[in-house]
Amino acid sequence: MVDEFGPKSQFVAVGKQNLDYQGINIVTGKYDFAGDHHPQGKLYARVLGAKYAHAKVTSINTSRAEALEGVEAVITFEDHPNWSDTILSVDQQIAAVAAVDEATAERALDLIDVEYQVLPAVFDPEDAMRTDAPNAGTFPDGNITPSPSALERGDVAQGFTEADVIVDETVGWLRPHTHNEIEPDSTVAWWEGDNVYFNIGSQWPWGQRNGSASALGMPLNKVHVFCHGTGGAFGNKYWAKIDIEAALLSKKAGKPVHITLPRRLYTVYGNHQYAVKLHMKLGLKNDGTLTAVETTWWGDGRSNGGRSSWQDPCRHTWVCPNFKKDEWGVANNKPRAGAWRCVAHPEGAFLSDLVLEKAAARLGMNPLEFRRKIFISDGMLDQDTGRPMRTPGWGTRQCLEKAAQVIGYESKYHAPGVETLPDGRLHGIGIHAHADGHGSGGGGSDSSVLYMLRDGTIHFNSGSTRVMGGPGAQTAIIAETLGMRFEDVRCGDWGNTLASEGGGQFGSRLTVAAGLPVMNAANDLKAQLYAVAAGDGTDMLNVTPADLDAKDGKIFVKSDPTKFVTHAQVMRVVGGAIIGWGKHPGGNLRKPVGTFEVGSPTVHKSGCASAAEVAVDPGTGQVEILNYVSVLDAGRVIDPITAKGQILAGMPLQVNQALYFDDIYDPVTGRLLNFNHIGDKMGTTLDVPVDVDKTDDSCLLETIDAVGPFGSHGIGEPAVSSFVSINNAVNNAIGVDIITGPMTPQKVLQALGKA
Amino acid sequence: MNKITHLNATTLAEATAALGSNAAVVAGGTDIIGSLKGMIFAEPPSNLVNLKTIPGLDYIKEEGGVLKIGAMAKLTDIHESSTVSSTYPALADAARLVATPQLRNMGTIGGNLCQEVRCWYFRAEHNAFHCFRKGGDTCFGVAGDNRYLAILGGQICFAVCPSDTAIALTALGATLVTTERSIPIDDFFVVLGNNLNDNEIVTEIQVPAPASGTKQAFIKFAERRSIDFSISSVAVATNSSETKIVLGGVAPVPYRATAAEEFLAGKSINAANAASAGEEAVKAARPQTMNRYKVQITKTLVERALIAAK
Repeated sequence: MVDEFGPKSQFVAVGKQNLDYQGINIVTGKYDFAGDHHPQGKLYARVLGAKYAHAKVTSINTSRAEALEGVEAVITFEDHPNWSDTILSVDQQIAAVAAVDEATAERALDLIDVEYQVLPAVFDPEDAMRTDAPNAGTFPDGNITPSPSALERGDVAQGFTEADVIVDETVGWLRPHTHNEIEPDSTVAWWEGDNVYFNIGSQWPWGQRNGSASALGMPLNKVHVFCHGTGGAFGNKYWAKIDIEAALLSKKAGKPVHITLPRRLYTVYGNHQYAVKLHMKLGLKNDGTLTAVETTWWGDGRSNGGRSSWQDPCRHTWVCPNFKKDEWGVANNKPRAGAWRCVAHPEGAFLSDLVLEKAAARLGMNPLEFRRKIFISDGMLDQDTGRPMRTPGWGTRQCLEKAAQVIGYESKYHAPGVETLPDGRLHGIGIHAHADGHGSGGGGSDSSVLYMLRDGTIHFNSGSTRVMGGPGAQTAIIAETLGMRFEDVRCGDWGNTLASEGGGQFGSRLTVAAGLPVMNAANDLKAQLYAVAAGDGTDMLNVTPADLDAKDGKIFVKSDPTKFVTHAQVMRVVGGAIIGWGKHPGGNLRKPVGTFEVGSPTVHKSGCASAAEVAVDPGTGQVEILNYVSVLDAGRVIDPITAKGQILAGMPLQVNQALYFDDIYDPVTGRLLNFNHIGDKMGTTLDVPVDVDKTDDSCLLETIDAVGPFGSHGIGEPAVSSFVSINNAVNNAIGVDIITGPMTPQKVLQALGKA
Repeated sequence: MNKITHLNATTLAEATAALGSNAAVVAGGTDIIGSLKGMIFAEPPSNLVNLKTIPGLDYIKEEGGVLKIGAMAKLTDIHESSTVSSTYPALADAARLVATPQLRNMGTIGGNLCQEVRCWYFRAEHNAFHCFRKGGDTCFGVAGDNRYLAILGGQICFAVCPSDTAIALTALGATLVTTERSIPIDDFFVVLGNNLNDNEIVTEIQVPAPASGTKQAFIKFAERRSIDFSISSVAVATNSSETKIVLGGVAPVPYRATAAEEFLAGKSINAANAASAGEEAVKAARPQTMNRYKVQITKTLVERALIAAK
């Protein structure tokens, strides 16, 4: 592929298999995470959760706990700025104990005497929406947000008058579920004078500094956050979840305090994917053209009133000038809802696609043909803003076609519920694609400082962290920009608040949001190096900087590459380390797109698609995936190992969302029942069979993003959001539409009228 | 989490002497350690008695037409035993389908028979649900989420028997030998657990050789292919004079589907009869609010197990 960066074969670091030197330590269990940090005198803390889902604490007495031998500090909601005596869900934190060991801390929790005034609670969002429902304690009147998050483009009413066919469907609730990354939240907090230090597992050290400093009433420059690595984060480790209680206990005890949440509380205190319901009304011409899309969404979760951006996938993927959305939050007494791998896009893609499939059936169109008809295409501008898209057609169409081709969709497609395999199971085929987010639209908060040392190597620290993968992309971007060898650039092991600011390793934003600052910092260094190399000093080249280029550790004269100096030679002349500095330039075009000039603001989305072939056992409701493919628009692959890691890790998350993940709450008490890995039916490697996964390197499409470094952008969220083909395949197999997820044997049998 | 003493017993006499109302046995440890860490007990045991240090309890042998399995025999060794797989294939399959390779390498057949139920109300931490099994007076699953609970034979407690090997052993007419007596497996399980006394330990499982021409099958249905307990399982042992059909995962104890057995009496097993036997097996089912799907799955499994028996 040729673009403004030249042919791909010219690259020395970008797109090469650059091994993460910490990878072996991670997979062999030798890598140190926050919970492995053992400062002298460390205490262990446990957190007490409330017994009821909706209550007022009328009294709390910690004297028996404080008297227990080995207990060194106890705090309650009265000491903690973010805790309250008003309880809105079971296990809401009300006290914490630091003791010489975990068992003692755990025993002390039983000795804290708490009395409650129990209030009526409601857990099911459908129940919470009823006018006679108990008030969940979030809004003064009722449980629904007083006004929706609303948007309308074009004229939806007019669009419906132009329609030949109206499709009017309600789908959901999609079930919520918890995160389940390998590493439960861990933090070790300690004080040195009036400075507080944290060693945590985090995907945003700078953000956790902000949250802790604010809660503790401290200036930012006295709060220091270090993260060696994170055993999975996925949108669950970006705020001060357990840090403040650790800091308060540490201050009270005068010793370092360690909290690792037990699995039960970890699953409660983290984010849960929203439970979401959708009412969607579509106006359609007989040929499939959309004339109007009207959507109303309800999502549960009290932390933000439930409102999110579930409509994003359909709004940005389907061509429809007349589009309307209302998003309502439904408060209830379950734990917090929020980012789950991706904020709102998996839920939105799932529910809107169920209606899309129903519309295709109404029109008598093949679902692939229907998507071809309504999807955005090359050369289109963003329908909301009229701004350019960063990749042609956002890659969505290419992803759709690639997925269809790999799975053989056109030859295998059949009408719903008509094909039986020789073994008696029902055969189904499904496809899905949408334009997903990849973060980093703005990103002014990210910056980078690179040190070129006196021997010509580079060391830098990152404000972003290692989330079960190395900073390989940033390293490759620096090496490529400076014409250095990959191994001569080294990122420090700690993501921390001593480094330049990182805006957070979430939202699939790091490739662009951290990649552009390091590229700009590398260009800053390059200008300094070339100024010296072009000079007429000893061994230097006596040309102008514009005459120079660099590759393989050499800075050479473009017109005569045999004349060169090495980076090390230049640095000997410089005589000491130099600094390159760069920041994020904003989401502006690096190259012209259509009539838009360099520097124009853009809309950022990237395509993703999947296709699935399933067999459904009508006797048991069991779904087996026979063939599967996941296709991603990567812009450009900078770090192949990380990119493949995203797609490999995305595969089980996709299957789990489609078929397994399901938080189950006791309908009477609101307590999460399936909090461990026995009750939570997370599919294992045996349930997510790699042998049926047809995804290969050709499924990482390179569309050359108009903003990202070397044309790249993030793929983390798209890699988990495009699972819906599995659900479409199940519905295609059984010929009945299941309108909720996950599609368990129970739901399949119910749909078939057998349960 | 309370402080716990731990005894490495060297003889059965030492082990039984150390047992009592406040003690628990460690065989493979895969259930008890998780239960302790999960803090599921209303009154957690303060003493653990380890049986792994008692020599000679892990044999698998045939003597006088009876298969004798030491209670400490590992599930892996049982399903890999040529003796078991050739003559008692239903038991071999049941052992093979428990959990994961790592758990089968640790878990013993004695422990598999004596494990606690998986009901999530029972297993909630800190006695959050003080149910019948913990001395309370409520089954919280009745008004709560009962998708995995019993559809047959539930009374007081609706948690289901979690053991896969118990289902196969019931179909094969096994007897459990303990430190005190021999108990036919039909009499071993009760709704709230088993009939063992506080100081009693299962030491051996005896399985009579099946009558000539007996065909067997064990089929398990779980939501996941591994690390999962049965939503429903069926063991079948059938010959010209008798058919035994035992259901697992659907009742508090291994459940003899006697109506289906009687329906098949004197009949040959063919597709039509197998399907009818499936219907008969679940006729007595009383599903709760959320587990009607288990009736359908059980019906299917009975039909398929009868056809698959060999």
